[in-house]
Amino acid sequence: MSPYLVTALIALSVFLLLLAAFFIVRYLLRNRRKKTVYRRSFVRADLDLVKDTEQIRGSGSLKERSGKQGRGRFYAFGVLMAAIFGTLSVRLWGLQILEHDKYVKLSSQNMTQRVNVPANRGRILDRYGNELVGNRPSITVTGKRTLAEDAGLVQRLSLVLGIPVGIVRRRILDDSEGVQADHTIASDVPMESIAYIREHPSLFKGVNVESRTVRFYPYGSLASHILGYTGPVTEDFLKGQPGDEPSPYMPGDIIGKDGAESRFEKILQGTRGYTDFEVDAFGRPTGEVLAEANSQSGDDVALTLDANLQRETDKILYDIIQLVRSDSDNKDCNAGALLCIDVEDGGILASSSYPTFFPSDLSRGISIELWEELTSVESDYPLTNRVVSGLYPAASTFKIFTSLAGLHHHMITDDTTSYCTGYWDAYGDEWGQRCWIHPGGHGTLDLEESINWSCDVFFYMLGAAFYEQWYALRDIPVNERPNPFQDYLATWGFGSRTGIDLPGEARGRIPTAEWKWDEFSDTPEEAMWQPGDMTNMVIGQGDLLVTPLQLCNAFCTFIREKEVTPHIFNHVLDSEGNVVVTYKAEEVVERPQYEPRHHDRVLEGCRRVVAREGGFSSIPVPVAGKTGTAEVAGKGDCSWFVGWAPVENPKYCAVCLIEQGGSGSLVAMNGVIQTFARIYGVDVGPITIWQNRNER
Amino acid sequence: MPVSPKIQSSPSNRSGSQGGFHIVAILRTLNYPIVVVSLILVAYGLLVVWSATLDSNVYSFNRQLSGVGVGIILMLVIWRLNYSRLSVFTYLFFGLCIFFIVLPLFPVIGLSVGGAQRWVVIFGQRFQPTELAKAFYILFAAALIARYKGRLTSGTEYLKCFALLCTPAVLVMMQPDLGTGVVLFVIGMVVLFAGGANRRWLITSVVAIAVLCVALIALDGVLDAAFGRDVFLKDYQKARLLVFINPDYDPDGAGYNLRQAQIAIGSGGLFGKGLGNATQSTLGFLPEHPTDFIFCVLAEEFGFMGSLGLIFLYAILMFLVLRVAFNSYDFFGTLIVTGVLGMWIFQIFENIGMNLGLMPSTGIPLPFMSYGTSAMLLNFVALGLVLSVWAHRSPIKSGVSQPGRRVQ
Repeated sequence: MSPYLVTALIALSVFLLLLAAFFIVRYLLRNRRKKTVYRRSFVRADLDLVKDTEQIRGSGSLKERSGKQGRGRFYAFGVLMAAIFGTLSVRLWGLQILEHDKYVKLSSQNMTQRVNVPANRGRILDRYGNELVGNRPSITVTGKRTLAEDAGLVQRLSLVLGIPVGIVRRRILDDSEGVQADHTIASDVPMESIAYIREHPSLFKGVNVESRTVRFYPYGSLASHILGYTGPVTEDFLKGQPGDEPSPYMPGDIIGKDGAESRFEKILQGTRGYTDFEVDAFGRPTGEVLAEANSQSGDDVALTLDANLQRETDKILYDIIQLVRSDSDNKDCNAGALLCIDVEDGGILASSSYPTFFPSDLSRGISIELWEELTSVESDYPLTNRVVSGLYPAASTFKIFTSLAGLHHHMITDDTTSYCTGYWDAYGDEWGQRCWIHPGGHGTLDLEESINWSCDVFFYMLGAAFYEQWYALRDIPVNERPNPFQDYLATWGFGSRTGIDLPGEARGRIPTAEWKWDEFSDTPEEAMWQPGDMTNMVIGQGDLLVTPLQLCNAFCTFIREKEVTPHIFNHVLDSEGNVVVTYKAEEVVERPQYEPRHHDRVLEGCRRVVAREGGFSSIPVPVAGKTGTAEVAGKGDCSWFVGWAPVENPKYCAVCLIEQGGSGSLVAMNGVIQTFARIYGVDVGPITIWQNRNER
Repeated sequence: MPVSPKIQSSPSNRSGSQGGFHIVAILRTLNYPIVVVSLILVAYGLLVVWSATLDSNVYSFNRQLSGVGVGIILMLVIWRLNYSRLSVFTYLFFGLCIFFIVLPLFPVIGLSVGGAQRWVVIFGQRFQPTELAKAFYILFAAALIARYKGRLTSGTEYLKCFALLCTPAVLVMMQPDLGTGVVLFVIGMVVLFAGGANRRWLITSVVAIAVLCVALIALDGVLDAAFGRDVFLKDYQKARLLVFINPDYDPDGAGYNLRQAQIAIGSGGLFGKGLGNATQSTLGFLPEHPTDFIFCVLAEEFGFMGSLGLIFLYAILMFLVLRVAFNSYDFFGTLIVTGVLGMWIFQIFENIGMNLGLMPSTGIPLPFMSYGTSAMLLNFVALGLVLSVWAHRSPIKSGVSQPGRRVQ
């Protein structure tokens, strides 16, 4: 009870007591006047009775009594009785008829106990049916967190399981599987230990031995970012969002936490089986089985990945990064991404992100230490899938799309050329910008050669042209002014998610004057849209950000001349191995617009890039591609390469990105060369890093 | 006790000159509707107790059955007694009442169960003497108030009567047996009410008692802290009150019984689960189901129709008893029957109300239904008194036995 209520009650009772005392005193005073003497008896009534002997026979009976008061009180009795029985009946009606269903439910909850049989989680396969994630049985020792209170028991467990006491205690107390659930103390316990625990139940009270199935990753960290990992369901997840259907999950259930495990959770999970026993109030089974259902295994999901190619790309990426680190004193280089897409249908054939992690480490609840290690700056965030979540300036690879924008908006015509002196200062010395070849210069270049040599000056001029077009409309407020350049780039998928069936995809960014104004609203002098913003964006720098997948997808759209959503889902197999569902591409309505003539000009540029670089000479089919070197503030340059093969009827498109890969895009080009070499089964020799080539 | 020597009427010995022992004439004095209805009730109660005690080794159905047997004999004996002779024994009843209330406190025979001195053990049999004290209390109250013949208007007299009537109730509460104490108090107030006590005095005393109760509850925590022990209310009693105010309070502890009772009743539905299928009670979710929570078993087994039938039977019985009170030969008889009526109605309301969550929980048995021989005996004694009042309502109808010398 709240203190206010108590105070109010005491005040009220004191008041009422005073009131009662007042009345009592008043009555006592009034009666004092009439006080008469009576004999012997405690009560005075006896005297009156004697006087009434004449009429005593039957005089007390209510029937004969004339006074209305006595009868009235008996009628009041009748009414009170009717009210009482009426109240009871109404309440009974409410409980037994109106709320019947509720109490039936409660009653069956009372007396049934459910033993759950978890369903086997479906496997994850590659496109050829190779098992990427499977299940294996694991004998697990579990216990409630209260076990930690028994120091002797913890000691015994430590001895039997061969785990230090401190770790046993920590695992018992670890709530990551849920406070109420049984906590895993040890997995894959040898049979001798299990036998000892089973033979000494009194020494190990409260310790359970369970045969669980755990996630099994035959290839270790292979494609870990795509596969994701599993873990015990969290309380927040169980609660769900308000308005959701009731969650089918229970504390202790294993669910997908990231990647395909999470994206295809509904397919993989399966349906848990159960047996309902009738129990008495003490939880003892009465022997009656009320209901039973078998568990239903989850279906297998086959991805578009090619496990062999994936293994190669993982290795290529690792090798390149290690080579950069060893050869060039570039110890900052420790991350990258390598992606290969099936151009025809958008299926991801291989997707590597480095640094990587082992999903098996995470699948049975993540310890705090491991989590801190995996999310620290020093570790370069191995849990991040750089292919879909990493944001980088697209650099020169972006020139393909800015070229198309220029062509589409007739900023570039058939006879547009630029003269490169290595330096461009159309907006005065203050705004002067260098071409990467500075000092020097490319001389006079047309569009194809500008793409081939990746000449910045050509594109600075294009950016300036778009800026002038935008600036000419300066009478219109910034937020209403058309941005034809950015809008055109957006039709290629930049600044929005590709819609790949993986969680955590980043949007990227196409900067506009309006965006800049909002972004730097605190410092208005920085918020103005300058020519430099446009000329930087046109070479894929500045505030532009893309993900490797976005870039690859845009290139795929360009080379297949059709937009397709990238995906990793291929098909679903039921437990008997029948294909139940296959991937079906959705029609994409909006497509980027360009004239075939323009497409061919840009493609020609890309063809010349590969021809000039020469690294693809061993690949049996013609290859085209584009290099890029992204300048990132405060860090070393990112190295990009996008390539595809064959040039006619393209089949494969690969993107390689090496973070802080040093100066020179050829670092990344190696990744694509090696990938295509594996695909076409040719030997291109070891990876070589060209030093000191300031090539873009 | 002043006994008037003037009041003398015709010979009162039963084997008098008017024809001796005519069984037919005697049987005519029986109030058959009451007998039939109460026997149906008893049979219904036995059926439910039987199903509730099927698997029990604590409760014995045979004991209950023997209680009913002895009760019926007692009832028949009392029916034949002329109640009006009893009015002279006012203070004897008072003394007997107090005696039975303090009986459990006596060393050898007293038995403490669950912290309360409520039981006595005689010849290895356990009894609750307070149940019998109720009968003497009714007789005492009726005899006391009948003296005023409905004209209890003097404040001093009222206060005296009130004090006398409250004494046993307060004693019982100190056992502690709050429930029975409240029953005695209710009987006392009902008899005062029917006895024609001044309305203002009645209201004043009820209000005063209510205020006292509220003050006790409010100050209980303070007093407990001051004395370092439970002074008035025990902790479990406070918890019960809290549960009554908020049914969701402590559902696994103090609120457990109420919650389980509601589940049992609610899951019964319209027609119930059938005899012996009361899973809630028989699987042990509801403790003390044959005694305080017998109504739950009934409601679960026979559903809404069964419970409504019980309430219907009770209603008929109560109105029949009211009729007896109305037609009594003298005021003493009226007040006896009124006292019995008040006791039953309050017990029915409190017990079923507690089962339904309408009243705070106390251990009050349901008349004719609950397991318990002492309570069953008392109910038959009370029934006997009612029948006696009916049988002796007039000299002609009372057959052989004339209402003899009545002293009021």
